[in-house]
Amino acid sequence: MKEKKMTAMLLAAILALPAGEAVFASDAAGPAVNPDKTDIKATYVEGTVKTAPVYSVDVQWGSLEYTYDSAKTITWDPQTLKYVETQGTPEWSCGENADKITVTNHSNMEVGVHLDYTKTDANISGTFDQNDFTLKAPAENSEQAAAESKTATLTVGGQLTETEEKKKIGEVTITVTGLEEPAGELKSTQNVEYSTTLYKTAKPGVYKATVECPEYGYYYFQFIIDGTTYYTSDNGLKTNRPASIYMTQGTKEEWILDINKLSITRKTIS
Amino acid sequence: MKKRRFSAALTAALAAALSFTGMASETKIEQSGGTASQDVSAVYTPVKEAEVVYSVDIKWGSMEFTYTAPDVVKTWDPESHTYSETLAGEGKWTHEEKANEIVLTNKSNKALTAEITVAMLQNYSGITPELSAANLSLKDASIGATTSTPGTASEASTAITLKGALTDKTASKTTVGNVTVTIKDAEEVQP
Repeated sequence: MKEKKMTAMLLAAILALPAGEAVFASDAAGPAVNPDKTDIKATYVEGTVKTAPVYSVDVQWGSLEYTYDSAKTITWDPQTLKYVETQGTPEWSCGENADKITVTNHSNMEVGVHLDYTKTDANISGTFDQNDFTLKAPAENSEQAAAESKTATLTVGGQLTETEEKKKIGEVTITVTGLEEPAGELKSTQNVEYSTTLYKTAKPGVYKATVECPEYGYYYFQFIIDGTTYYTSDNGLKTNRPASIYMTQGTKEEWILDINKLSITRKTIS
Repeated sequence: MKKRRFSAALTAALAAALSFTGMASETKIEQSGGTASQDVSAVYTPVKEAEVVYSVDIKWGSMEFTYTAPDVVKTWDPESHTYSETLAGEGKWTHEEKANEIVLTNKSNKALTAEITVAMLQNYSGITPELSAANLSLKDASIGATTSTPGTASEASTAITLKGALTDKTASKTTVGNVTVTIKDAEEVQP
């Protein structure tokens, strides 16, 4: 009975020890077993904080109603008994703040804002004082009023044909894009293998990537947007065939890839 | 207390409305790649109608009249050895051709009326002026006019005649009265 108990104790001690460290002294027949102990160690690793982006961008529109003054004046000439028409410089005007568009970011991430003017009257153009800008995310627990906002001003120009009614001359479209939002992968699969993340920018169809060059030579980069594969070349983007682009070893570049213009703008960072 | 709170809220609302003069609407974008659009519109400021230019030419006749006193018939009275005088008829006012006319030509881009008044000086109150027309209508000269086609000046006239006797026998081109022409906008005809 006693022997049975000793055997059980010995077995428990063995199980308590880490594998490979059998440190006990007794012979099978001996009754004495020296007790032994070891530390239990633990390491805390932070869990990944996962925060889903929540977009909430307010757009406050001015009325975007403009007035065109043709600056034509008609006067009566009593000598000739005819009307005389004189042409001054035509002017566009609008009410106070009617030409302003204010965008405020209440999202939990930085956003890019892009403004577009689309003509519906071919003779009238619209330009913004700024049509691409970014808005930082508000700090946690900050007040509503602390949200970053920017205001763009729309100036219209051209000649409006005579009309009695208020007439639509164009349309402003604002596109908001979450920055730091990956859009895909920029990958070189031939010659030199290398890949980096492609990010969205404020402007639709324009992407950004940081490219480091582990070795010099020709890289065959490609990326896919909406099912279309784009290939990088020294002359811009191609869609019909793989192309190469030359890189110098050890440089780090910021690339702006515009799929609207099929262009690449490269800037050396280091 | 409730009333005061309501008025405070109203004041705040008015202040907010005032601070956003020209702001039309607000939209919210709640996704990446989300868009919002707004129409841009324009109104045309019509060409302002020409302002009224008044231009009336007045062509005065010389306004020189001659008074020819009536003949005096002297009759000898052999009893009293004096003449008695009687006037044979009345005195006569004459003038050169068109000397008594006033011709108005309207070159304004507006219809006008002209009022002509004649006043005799106090010493000559025995002379009575008469006008063929005391009020004249002048049409708008810009009717049918464009920048290339001229309009038509309108013309109207009146004539003065004098009645009564000029008693000042020394008068020689002496001012006996004056004529005033007053121009006014023609009254708009109500449709």
